[in-house]
Amino acid sequence: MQFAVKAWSNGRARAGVLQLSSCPNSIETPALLLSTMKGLPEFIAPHLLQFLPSPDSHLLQTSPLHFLECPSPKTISSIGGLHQMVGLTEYAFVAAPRDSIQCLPNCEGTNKFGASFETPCGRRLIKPKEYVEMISSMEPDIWASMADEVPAWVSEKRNRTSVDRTVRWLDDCIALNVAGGGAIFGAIVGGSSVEERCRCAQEVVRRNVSGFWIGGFGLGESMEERSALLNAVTDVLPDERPRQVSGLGLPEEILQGVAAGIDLFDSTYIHHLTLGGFALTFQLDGTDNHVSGSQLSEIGSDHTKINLRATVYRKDTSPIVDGCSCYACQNHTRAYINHLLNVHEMLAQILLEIHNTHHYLGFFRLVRAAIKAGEFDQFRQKFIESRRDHLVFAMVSQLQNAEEHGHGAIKPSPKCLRPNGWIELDSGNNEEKKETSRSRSSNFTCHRARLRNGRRSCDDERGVFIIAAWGRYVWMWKAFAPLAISNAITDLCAPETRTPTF
Amino acid sequence: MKIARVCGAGRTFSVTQPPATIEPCTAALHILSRASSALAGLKRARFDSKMALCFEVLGRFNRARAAQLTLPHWMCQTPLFMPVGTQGTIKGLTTNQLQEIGCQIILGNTYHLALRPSSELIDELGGLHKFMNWPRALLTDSGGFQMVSLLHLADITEKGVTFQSPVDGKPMLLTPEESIEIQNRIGADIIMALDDVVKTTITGPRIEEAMYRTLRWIDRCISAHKRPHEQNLFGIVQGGLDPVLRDICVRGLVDRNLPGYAIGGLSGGEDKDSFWRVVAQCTAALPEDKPRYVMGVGYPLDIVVCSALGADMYDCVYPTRTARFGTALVPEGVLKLKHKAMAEDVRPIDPTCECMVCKKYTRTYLHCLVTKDAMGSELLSHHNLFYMMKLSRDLHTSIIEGCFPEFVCGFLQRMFPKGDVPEWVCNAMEVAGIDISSCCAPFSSFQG
Repeated sequence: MQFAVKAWSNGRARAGVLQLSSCPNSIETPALLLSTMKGLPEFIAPHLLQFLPSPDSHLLQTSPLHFLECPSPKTISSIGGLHQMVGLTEYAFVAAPRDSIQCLPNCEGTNKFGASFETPCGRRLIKPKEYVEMISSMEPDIWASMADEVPAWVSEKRNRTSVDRTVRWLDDCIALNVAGGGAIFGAIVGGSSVEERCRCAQEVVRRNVSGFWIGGFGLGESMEERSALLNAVTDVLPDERPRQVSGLGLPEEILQGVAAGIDLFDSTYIHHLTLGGFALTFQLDGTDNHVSGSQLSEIGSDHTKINLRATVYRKDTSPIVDGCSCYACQNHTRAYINHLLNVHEMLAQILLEIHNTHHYLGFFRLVRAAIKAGEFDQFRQKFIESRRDHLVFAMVSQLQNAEEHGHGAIKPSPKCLRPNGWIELDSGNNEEKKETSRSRSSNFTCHRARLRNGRRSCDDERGVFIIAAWGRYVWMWKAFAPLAISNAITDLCAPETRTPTF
Repeated sequence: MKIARVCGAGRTFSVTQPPATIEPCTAALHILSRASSALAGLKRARFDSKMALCFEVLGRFNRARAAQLTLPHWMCQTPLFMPVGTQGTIKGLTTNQLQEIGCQIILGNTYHLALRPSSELIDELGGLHKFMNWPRALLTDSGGFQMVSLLHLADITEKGVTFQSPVDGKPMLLTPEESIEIQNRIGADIIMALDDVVKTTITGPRIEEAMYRTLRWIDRCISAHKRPHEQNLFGIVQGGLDPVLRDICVRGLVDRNLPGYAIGGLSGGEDKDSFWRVVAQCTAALPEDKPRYVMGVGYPLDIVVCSALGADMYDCVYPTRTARFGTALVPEGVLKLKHKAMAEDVRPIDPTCECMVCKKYTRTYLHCLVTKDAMGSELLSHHNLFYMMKLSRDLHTSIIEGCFPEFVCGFLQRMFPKGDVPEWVCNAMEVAGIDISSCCAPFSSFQG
């Protein structure tokens, strides 16, 4: 593995080039690792991978925990490793224990012997020896050492223990890695403590690792504190070695990571979008979307993505995004995908995953271009603002509609727009609430509300006051509750939302 | 038209003479040739206003035939197998994958499509071909079978099939006219007449009633058909397992001079011995110059036997459905990939298969994917359909090249290496005039 930084922008953001022996072409960073299940994408069949942009799409993320049941490490070795087993010899695999979709760290179960994970095969304790054995049979291009990842709210003592354990496991992994195959990324944890993060980073830098895998994010910390933590870590790390972060999925989070100096990202965004029936539509050529906010809330959409389950797409014969060169947009229409989603056909998820992957890889290209042009900060600012503008439009139009129709409505406080784009309701700010015969006393609770065309709430009878933001689903946040953003994404696209309502 | 007669062990029978050569043509060429008679050198085809297809037999072996079936959207080679894409898609496969495998015709289910997204919507968006972006041929069934098999309270009367709508519980009626109307809107190359289908396990006067009703309904279907130049209406032969009833039905349908004929009411649980006899009788009686479609046949062995007896087209959910349950089709029969024994097996599913799945993946890897991940279904469906398409191609090529008996023997030897070929297969092959004594063990109960 070889890595070199080619360009800098605004301090920490950097564009680089990663050379891996499996990939014929070098890969530019910041780059996206496509998530896989057992080595292959969840839905995109191998013959369709060729239609994704190349070589961007050749970086795949995997986890040895996917192969806990079978095949056994011996069998995988006899086939010739993971690349051979899944028939993707020109792709690069980056292995880490955690994959943020199926295999999540479970800090209560972790002890001095090994790390505990929730996997599809149940809760498992993985020891460094087993882990290295699975890694050596798989032979990924890059692999991360085992880490004890803890959420943001654990005690200081637990946090310190996690750092000590992680460093010890890194030493174990290096010692056990007799075969010497693959590049090791040292895992860096430390929860929400800047000191612990620094300490861990300093310890890992001293070891002979080819790069760094920064874990412990996406487990309950807020976006504001994350910046400080990331910067604390990357300040300590040497420039010439690549850095990967795990647990950052949304575009805003990716931008935050790039700004801190991260090169590789794995993301669950595509997975959740696909399962929820969403397709990414935000502009990739840097121009603003000209559709007005009121029009968007009419069709149950926002600037960034459309929910193809919506009835408005039943007869829409346009591709998902005009001008998109992905397989789904070149061959199929929104009406067809709407039909497939309605009848629960697998082809819907296949087409959506192709399009979403294609689109998100395009987003990463924009990021790289902005860094090379030295304009990353402006790009980031513009991107975040464009994703919030439509929320304001939608909210304003919703409020106007709601007032016209006499529904109870709440005017949100100005601070309720979080930087990541979610709307937060402060339970203190309800002085403008209107009492109607259908409303009851306000009591904000945190749950999902369903909207039909953003005008009427089917929860009116329960006295829940809704602010329609976009699409068909909106989150309401309980003030001060430590809810992880990744959990929010999971809930947004949780199984209950998948049933069509029409 | 002579009807073939089987004469026991003597194995002599007369076959109808093949008609004068018909030049391959599409509906468009029909119009051209009528408009300008200056197309020298082309024998003008007998223009039949009810046909939108051209069927040309290219090779024979006794009753088996290999033909070219030209439909408005695609030129097909028969014998062929048609995968079933119930709701406008073959589960887990993209259209470009299907084309690569070699699928020629895909089935769509009228009942499901009429329910969602509705035939009017499909019509508005330009027909099912455009809706699902399938450039080759499509076939839709009448919807009658799904209603009877899927709905508890379906009842068949002279008017049509009454059933409870699964959407809102209202009583609804599907008449032959409406079935054809829906199929006209969907726009498939071949459409099926609404027939009164009964299970072959039922006995009694119901079968006779169903057969006569099918004949009455075919007339209603023909008059309701608005697009005979673009869509071919196939009649379906019913009559249960009774040869007399089947004969009456065949004659009745042949009198209507339809573009093609289907043999229905089979693959519903009857024993194989009765099954092949019905197919043999119908293929002998149906005209030589029209395609014959045996509905619901999907086991490779059944397809080989029916092709030997003179059938051309088959459809079944079996290959794709069994893939989703983890079973792969191989020359030896089936391979259950969920089985523990597959967990350490590093061979491909079938070393002789040239599909992408067999070239790249091992049984052990597929074992961990099937029934658990969508990718398992996708890969296994790909392999199974590839196998069926290869079987269709091999049948077609071996008949044309004159090595059909060798192909059949090779097929049976691989599937029954111990020589335990089932008796019904032996009997059917005898009628078909194929010598398979080399595949059968000497002590089998079949005596010449």
